[in-house]
Amino acid sequence: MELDGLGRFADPAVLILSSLAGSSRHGYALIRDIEEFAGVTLGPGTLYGALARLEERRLIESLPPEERRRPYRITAAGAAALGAYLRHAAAIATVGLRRLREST
Amino acid sequence: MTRLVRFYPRWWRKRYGAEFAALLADLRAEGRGRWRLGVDVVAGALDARLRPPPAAGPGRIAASIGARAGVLAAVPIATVVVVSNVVRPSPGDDSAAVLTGYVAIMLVLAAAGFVAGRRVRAPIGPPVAGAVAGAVIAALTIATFAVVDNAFLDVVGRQQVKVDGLAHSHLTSMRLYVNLTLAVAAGVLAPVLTGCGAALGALGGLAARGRSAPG
Repeated sequence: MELDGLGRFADPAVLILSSLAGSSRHGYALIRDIEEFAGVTLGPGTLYGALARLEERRLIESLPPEERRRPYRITAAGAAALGAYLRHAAAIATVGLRRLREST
Repeated sequence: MTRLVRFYPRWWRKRYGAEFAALLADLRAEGRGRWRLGVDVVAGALDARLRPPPAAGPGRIAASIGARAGVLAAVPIATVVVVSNVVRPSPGDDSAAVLTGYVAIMLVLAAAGFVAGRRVRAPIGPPVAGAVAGAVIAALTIATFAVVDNAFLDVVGRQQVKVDGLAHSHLTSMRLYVNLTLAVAAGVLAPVLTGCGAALGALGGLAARGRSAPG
């Protein structure tokens, strides 16, 4: 899976890709959007650690800077990796929820 | 706050520095906690320094793997040094603990080579990773002893081995004695661990190639 091997940046990477799946965003907009939809606050060092790794793997790409802020957008490879990850997570969630229902 | 960007390596600042500084300014303007942001930025800078720059050659990637392994191993070593010398000094024979420590270091050196063998195709990768890991462990361990011995000289100086060592030397100052001892130890430990690291890293690399070989 494309998101393997990201270590402690795996969760931030999923949040970033999910945010960029909606539209291109720069760092500050990413932090605000992730706080809104996930309730998670990424620190700036964590955010850019994950952004650098995602860009290196060509799962996201940078756009021309707007003033000093540089927006990022998800690539086709990034969308495919995110889709695969989320489908896998959804399958696990489905099984887990069903078993929880059955046990109660 | 934006001055913290200086902690990042040059290649990183060149690529991300301006936008990162703008982000920090935005977050500070919003009133987010300075300390919380600062800790996250410093942790990010350490991560960036331990990562190879994009398009780095195999040697640089292997060195980065070795540096990470070395730092990871040095943290528990430093903890043990502080605890055993200052917090709970053990008057008895600690040779078993020392031997365990050396075995653990050897495993880390081989593991660095193993990881490098999986990540880097070039044969130079595993020995470089092991050698760098060994050098980092030696440097950080000696640095830890230097800080502990000098900051807690009144505690460390009561150790029997140091009292006896000072008595048998021609020195009159315990501080000078411990620092000279550390300098000698550094001169021995650094090349020994670097050399062992290269050899064990190469073995780790062979193990990695053996695992990934077909059949």
